[in-house]
Amino acid sequence: MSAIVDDTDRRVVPRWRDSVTTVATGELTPVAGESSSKEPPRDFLAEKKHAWSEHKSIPIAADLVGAALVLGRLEEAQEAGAYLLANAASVSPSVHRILRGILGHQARARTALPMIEVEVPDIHDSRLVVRRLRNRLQRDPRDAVLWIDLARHYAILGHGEKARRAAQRGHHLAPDSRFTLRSAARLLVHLGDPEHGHEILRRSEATRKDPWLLASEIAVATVAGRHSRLIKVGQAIIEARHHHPKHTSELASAIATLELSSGNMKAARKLFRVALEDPNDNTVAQAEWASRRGSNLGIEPRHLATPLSFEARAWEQYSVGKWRESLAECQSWLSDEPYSSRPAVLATFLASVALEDYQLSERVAKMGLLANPDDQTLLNNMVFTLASSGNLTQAVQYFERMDVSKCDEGARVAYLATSGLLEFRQGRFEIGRNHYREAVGLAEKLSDRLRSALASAFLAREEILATTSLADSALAAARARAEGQDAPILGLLIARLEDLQQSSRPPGS
Amino acid sequence: MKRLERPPGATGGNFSEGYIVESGAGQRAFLKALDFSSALQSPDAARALEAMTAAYNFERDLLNKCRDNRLDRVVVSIDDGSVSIDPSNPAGVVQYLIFELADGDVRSRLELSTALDTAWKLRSLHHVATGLFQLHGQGIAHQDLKPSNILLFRGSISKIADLGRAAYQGHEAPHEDYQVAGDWSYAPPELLYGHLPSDWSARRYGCDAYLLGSMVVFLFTALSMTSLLLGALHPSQHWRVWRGRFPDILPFLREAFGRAVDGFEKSVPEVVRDDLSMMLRQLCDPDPALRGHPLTRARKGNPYSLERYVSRFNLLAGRAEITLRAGRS
Repeated sequence: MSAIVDDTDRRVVPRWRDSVTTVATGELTPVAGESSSKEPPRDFLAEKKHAWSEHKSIPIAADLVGAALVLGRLEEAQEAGAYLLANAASVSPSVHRILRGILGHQARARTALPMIEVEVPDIHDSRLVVRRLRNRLQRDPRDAVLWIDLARHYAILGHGEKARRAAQRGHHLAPDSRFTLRSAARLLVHLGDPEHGHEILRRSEATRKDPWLLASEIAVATVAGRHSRLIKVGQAIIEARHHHPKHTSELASAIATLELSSGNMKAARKLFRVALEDPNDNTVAQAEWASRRGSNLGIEPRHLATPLSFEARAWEQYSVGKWRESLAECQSWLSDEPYSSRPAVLATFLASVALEDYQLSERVAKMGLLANPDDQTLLNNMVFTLASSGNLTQAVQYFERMDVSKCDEGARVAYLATSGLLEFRQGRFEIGRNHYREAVGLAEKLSDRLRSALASAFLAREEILATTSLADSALAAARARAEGQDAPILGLLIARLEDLQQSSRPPGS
Repeated sequence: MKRLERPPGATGGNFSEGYIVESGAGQRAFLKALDFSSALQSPDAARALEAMTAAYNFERDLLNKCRDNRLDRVVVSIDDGSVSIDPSNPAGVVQYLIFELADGDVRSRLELSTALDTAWKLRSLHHVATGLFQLHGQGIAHQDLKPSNILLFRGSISKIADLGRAAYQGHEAPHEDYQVAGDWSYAPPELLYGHLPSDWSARRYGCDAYLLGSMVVFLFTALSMTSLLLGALHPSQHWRVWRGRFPDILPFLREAFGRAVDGFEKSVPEVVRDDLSMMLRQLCDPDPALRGHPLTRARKGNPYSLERYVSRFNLLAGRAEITLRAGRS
């Protein structure tokens, strides 16, 4: 059976986006006013405007537009800008090109976040970007931001060691930068080395003062199974309320999650309320996750409307059975974090189970497995997808890549069920049936009613498709296990099985 | 003597007026007169007068030093002094500086011939680099190098003018404490973001190195390096908005700088593209501590020495001139 993403734990591990998007989200804006820059003592722009009013020419216009841009008053040089754009092309195509680039970039950057595609990311894009980034880094190997961007694309392509080395270079060049620290820590979590990720955050001088870094330090420490020594520092920052709520949102939700796992619901709710005052997508996803787990935080549509909240919206739509909508959000989530296995797992589940779109599921699984070649849940979903679509040879090949010793207990349920599926599709019904029953038994032992019902439903599907004599009883058992569960996916599966059963009966029976 | 009309696009100096003057022998020159009347209108006239006088004396002394040391790529004063224009008024004394009369500034040449030949641009850069190198040799950092301060003489000679914002090593200038001594719209990023290097050379010579790189950009794009750099940056990281520390913005300045230089490269003839791009990356490095030629930095002495750039621009200009002559013949 296709395994659903295991969301028993979710931490406020920082998102890792490319530098352009990260800047546009505003998460890199300074927390406190530490700049000592002053106002210019003289109105340089007035002098240049005067010159422009006296003499219209390209150098004078360029001087005015350039100065207006540098002085942050571009709107005062619109006439000169229009003059340049109208005349520069004929005189100097290069100036025209640069100006168009600058003015266009400024206009775009002011308006919106970069577009996130609602499509499965294309690995060729990442290969091209890697080539371009490497070229640029050859010219300036000191560019920490580019090293981090390069690391991200290596991670997307599944080149873990290259990604680690690139991120190390970036971190080494800017060891206290919020961007490099959070990105490097996120990569190390992705590579299964959260201890190292925690170390770099813990050692940075910047972490103690920066709520964004504190949030990451606390979250990554938890992933590493450690106890953060900075929780009190973080609590003090939240209580002091010296910073804008957007800067303390992740921190509040990171500490709220700790309170939640300690069973301190009251404190958790209070902190989540702080976190949701001006949340980012990561906080909204965390609060949505906590709500789904029974915390009832009152997530409102305005929270879900937070830019880039694909994850939260994907789960929200999933929980109400809006499969297509959920899948669309999931694909955006995957485009946003193509190296992450979580959106790929949920997307393959939705595509293969809820929508039976095996082509899409296969594409997503391939993409996810590129960055996470050893992810047992994704491998399982790939096997389920291929076997369900009739591609048994490839399904078996992927199944052979699986290593049950690397599966946690939830994934083991899926593994057993999927091995049952393969046996059924190869005509070995009894062996397949036994695997499914083992899966159901294990899920029940784990008190995992959802997985138990899912395994049972997929056994029923195979019995019906194979038109065995046990089809009716298998369907009845699946129906019984699904009953009383607040999981729309089970309702969908049971209804579909009933239709299948109906259509597989000989006419008049 | 007749009053000079302000040249097109001239942004002028502080509290000064320009005149064209003619000697008895008919030689024309430029006279910069200190306008005390503006100071007298200040709420604190005494302090304003004192500041103007200090600025005038500082500039005059630097100009005399340049003249005495025969800096031939710097516009030095021919004469200076004072003249009473109203004997009944003690404030009616005008201090003046007289300079060789230029044909115009570098913008006028760019305006007349936007398809300026590469050879001319490179020769101008060679002269400007030489002028800065000469100034640095005297312990003077110009700090306000910009197109309107590059004057043209006899068609092909470029000289650096206006030492009104210069710094003199070991001496305190009247504008010593200014965050940006010169024109803010050309200033290097560290100064705009309020990061003032504690090391004199890094702050003053480092600024000049950046401004020289900015002149390279100007001659090929009509824009300044700072406008290309800030144009490539997200508006939330613009120095007018950014409220953080310079080290925190520096990685993003470097990334934007890389893109800005890539854009610049497309405006440069292929034959000099690699050379100019490399020099630009060194001269305008967003980190003032890394600015300048790497080989110079590795040795003792002024890490911002422009000597290697003088040689390089000379070589490039020479090659371009030969190519130009070969093409004409």
